[in-house]
Amino acid sequence: MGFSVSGSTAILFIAMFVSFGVLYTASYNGFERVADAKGEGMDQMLTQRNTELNITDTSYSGGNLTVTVNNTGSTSLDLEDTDVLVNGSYVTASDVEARDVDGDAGTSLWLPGETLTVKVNVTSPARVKVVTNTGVADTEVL
Amino acid sequence: MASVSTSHLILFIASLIIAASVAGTFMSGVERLSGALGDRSIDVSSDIETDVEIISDPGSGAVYNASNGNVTVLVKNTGSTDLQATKDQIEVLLDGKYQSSVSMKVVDGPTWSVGNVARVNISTGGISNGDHRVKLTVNGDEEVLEFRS
Repeated sequence: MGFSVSGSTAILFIAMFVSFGVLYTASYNGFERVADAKGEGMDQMLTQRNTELNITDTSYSGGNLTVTVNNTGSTSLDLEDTDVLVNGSYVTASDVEARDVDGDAGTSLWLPGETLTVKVNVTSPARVKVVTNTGVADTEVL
Repeated sequence: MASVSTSHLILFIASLIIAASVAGTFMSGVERLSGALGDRSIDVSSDIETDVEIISDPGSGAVYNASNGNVTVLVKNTGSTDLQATKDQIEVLLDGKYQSSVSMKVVDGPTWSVGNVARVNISTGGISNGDHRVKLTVNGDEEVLEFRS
């Protein structure tokens, strides 16, 4: 009788150890995945709170609208993710005649304190909206 | 004596078989639970990573096109995960009513990756003059746009 009890106890113990290992790995991975996502969301929120922009000047002449925007926040923005809406319609890259940040046309970084100048080809603009990569926007009525 | 050891052997084998079957059931249950935990964590993390923002300019009058009855909303991916610009990824409510004739297209790239803007087109067949609201839900993230037609 002694062998049967110890043999079956050993089998049950091994099964419990293996199950605990499987469960622990799965729950730890899941927890880490969710914690990472939360951290990223928090970072994104901080960036959004630190983003601020201000349209300082708009002028329209000869079919081209020139918009001057200041980065008044404290985060560096990416020009590839910055969008311009004129009269509520999205301005595609092909309609952008020229753009520069403090006179530098080759950069795609828009650092705090720098001024972005965008020249877009539109007809009769009435409103212009500039949206940054975090969704912070500024609207100006011409 | 031989009968005693035979019955001991039979009991020994029986107890091992019972223990093994209990252990097997236990382990398969735990494995199923682990799989569900993994799947759920993927869902929850993608819900947390998803963030969209309606960037349409409701003051411009470009949201509603009265000539064809279309409501156009521009939605920017401001989260930290790439999204799919397909109809089944986005739920659209207009004035609280579910909209089924919805089409969407990314306007500044091939995919709706982080920072890209998608245009959501809702064909309403005409809405009355007055105040309206559009509610978009992407992976549990809800955004509301109010406009006047």
